[in-house]
Order: sequence, then structure tokens, then C-alpha cells
Amino acid sequence: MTSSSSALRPRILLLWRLHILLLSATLIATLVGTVRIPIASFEIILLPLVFAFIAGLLLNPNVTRITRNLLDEREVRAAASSLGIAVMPLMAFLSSYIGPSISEIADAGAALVLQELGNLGTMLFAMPLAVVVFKMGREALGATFSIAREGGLAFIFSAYGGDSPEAKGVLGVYICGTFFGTAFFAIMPGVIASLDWFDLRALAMGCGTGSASMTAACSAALADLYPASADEIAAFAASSNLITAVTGVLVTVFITLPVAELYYRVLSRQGGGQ
Amino acid sequence: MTQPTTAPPLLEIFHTLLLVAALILAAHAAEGGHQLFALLPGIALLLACTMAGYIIARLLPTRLPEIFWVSVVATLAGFPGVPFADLYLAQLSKLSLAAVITPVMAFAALGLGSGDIALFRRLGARIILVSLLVFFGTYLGSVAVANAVLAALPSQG
Repeated sequence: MTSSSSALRPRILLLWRLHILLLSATLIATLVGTVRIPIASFEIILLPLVFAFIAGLLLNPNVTRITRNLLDEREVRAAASSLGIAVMPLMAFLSSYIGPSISEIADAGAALVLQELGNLGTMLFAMPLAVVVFKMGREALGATFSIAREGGLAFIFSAYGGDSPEAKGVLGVYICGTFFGTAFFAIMPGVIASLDWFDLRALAMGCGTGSASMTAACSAALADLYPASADEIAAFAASSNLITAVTGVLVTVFITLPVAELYYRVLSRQGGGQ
Repeated sequence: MTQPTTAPPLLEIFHTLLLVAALILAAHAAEGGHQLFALLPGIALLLACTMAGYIIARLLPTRLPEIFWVSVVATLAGFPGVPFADLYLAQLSKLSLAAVITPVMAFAALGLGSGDIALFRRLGARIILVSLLVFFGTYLGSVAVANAVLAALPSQG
């Protein structure tokens, strides 16, 4: 007899309709290639991964009707649960370049560790928008205290409970991150890099603050601008991501969350106006 | 769904990785300019690092995420002085980052379930705007701090 868990999980290699749609999205995106849209003094670079996302959305039966006879919810769920596995080879690829750049990374060691404090920037702009403009309640705190990847999600669930408004907020940003975050991280770094304010190493380290796919998208965007430094960019982004995985919880508990609580109180007193 | 579920069995992870490997190969084929057979060792090595990371995560009694171990294994495989690190990196250098990441986004977009759409409707466009500012602020905050520390440190390079 099959156990209940394997009965719930379709066997991924048998879902050939899903394979065809994944393949179509991948091929369409790669054939479209990289598109550059110049705007004033900088350009927006759209990498193939952005088109893979758009093609995937158009082929998703929950978004458009094109494939409603091809794909059911079971296969969509299989794609979603495979996402966490599909990012792993990507992470392995990026991390492989840490070794060859280790002396540069050691040079920048203090910056790599301290940039975790840059997470305070997460709430800087987002919380005023959520609290003052959108009048969100405690959801705003969950939504803006961190970049809401798995660690942040687990943290809010354990600190405030899964039914809390904070949990709704963090879950909302988590889902947006899964589905739009990577595309955003593929576009934004190029724009910020073209300001020419920041060291390339700093731009690469900032790539490591999110999920594996955000890290990779951001590295690919910078590598497109600075092809000669592609390996170094991957190395800095991957080490930053690795350090975030280790120090992230400490920074959250002792710094980010207390500051977020304080910031929330100040903002809701000013903007709430009750 | 988006909630973390129970860990899938290793065999299923391997099956998923085979599918991912086929898509990575297809992306390279569409990109053009690659000798596809020459890419196979590099892709196989990425799968091997991933599987090793998953296995270590299950064997060790720590609660560090699997991706941490995958990253550690791959870092060690390419580390100077580790046996065959040069060979490993030479195989990997044949792969293109764009072709490795593109299939991942196909999974993300096709995995958007009806429940996710419903949650979006409930939270509305507000949560999307807030999320974009969250990503923007996190990136800019980290870059600014890293940049300031780099500028303050005496460079040895």
C-alpha cells in the first residue's frame, strides 16, 4: 500500500504535461534572450529569467485559460513544491565561485558580516507605506521587518503564531517574493549600479540578502553589466547569502525585530491619527 | 501550496533534479554556442553537490536549512587546495548562469496555485507594493552598509 504522503505527492517524472509547459517557458525565454530598455541615463535589463516567469504565468491555468485542459491543480502544486529543489543546483553553481575568490572575500570580511545590519533598510521605506499610506495594522510589522524568506516566516510563526496579523503580513510578502521577488532582483541591481555610487563588491554582497533565486538573478544582472567580473560577483553574492543563513536569526532577534516594534509604534502614532 | 510541507524523500528530490537538469540542458541548447555533451559533467556535478547537501542536512542533528549545506558542499568542491577543485571549476565554467536560472523561474510561475491567487486578492495590490519596497530597501540597505565598510577599511588589494 502507498502511504498517505506519497499518495498526496504525484511522481514528478510522470507529469509530462507539466514537463512540456516548463520546457516551453524555458525555451521561449531563452530564445527571447536579454532585452535592454534605455531610460534616461540608465537602462532596464530584462534577463531571460524574467521572460520565463512571464511565459510561465501565461501558461498557468490559474492565471490564463490557455492551458486549462492541460494542467490541473495537482500539477501546479507539484511545480510549487519542486521550486525549493530546483533552486539548489543554482545555489551550488554560485557557491562554487567562493573558493577562487577567497582572498578578495577575506579582504572584505568585515563588510560581509556587517552588511547584515543593512536589513534595517528593509523597513525604512516599506513600513511607512504600509502603516501611514495603506493604514495596515500589525500586518505591516510582519510584512516589513525582514525580506520574508523561510527563516523570517518561521520566526514570525513561532513568535506571534500562525493566525496572527503579523503572520498574514509576512506570508503575503513571502508569496510576492517567491513569485515576483526574483524578477525584481533581476531588474533593480542594474538600475542601482548605473547610479555609480557604490563599489561593485558592495552591489554583489547586497545580492545575497534574499533567497537563492534572488541571489542568482541579482548576480546575473550585475554580471551582464560587468562581464569581466562575473566570477567575483557570484562569489561575493554567494558568500553574503551563506553568511545571512548563519547570522540572520541573531540579527533578527536582537536588532531587527526590536527596532521594527519601535518604528511601528512611532509610525502608527503619527500616521494612524486615531 | 506555499506553506512548508514535510520533507520529500531523497529519491523524489533526485527525480526533480533530473527534470531540472534536462531543462538546464534545453536552455543551453536554445542559447546556442554550446557543445551539449561537454556540459553534462558540469550539470552532473551540480546535482551531486545538491544531493550531498540534502544528505548531510538529514544526517546532522542541526536545524540549518538544506540550502546552507548545498552551499557549503559546493564551496568546498571549488576551494583552492581541495583535490580536483580545478577540474570541478573547469567543468562548471562551461555552463551559463542565465541558462541555470531560467528554468527555476518556469517552476515559480507555473507553481502559482489558486490559493495563492486568492490570498493575493484578499491582500490586494497593497501587499505587492509593500513587497517591492521591502526588496528595494533590503538591497539598498545592505549595499549602503557594505559600501561604507569597504570605504572605511584599508584595502589590501
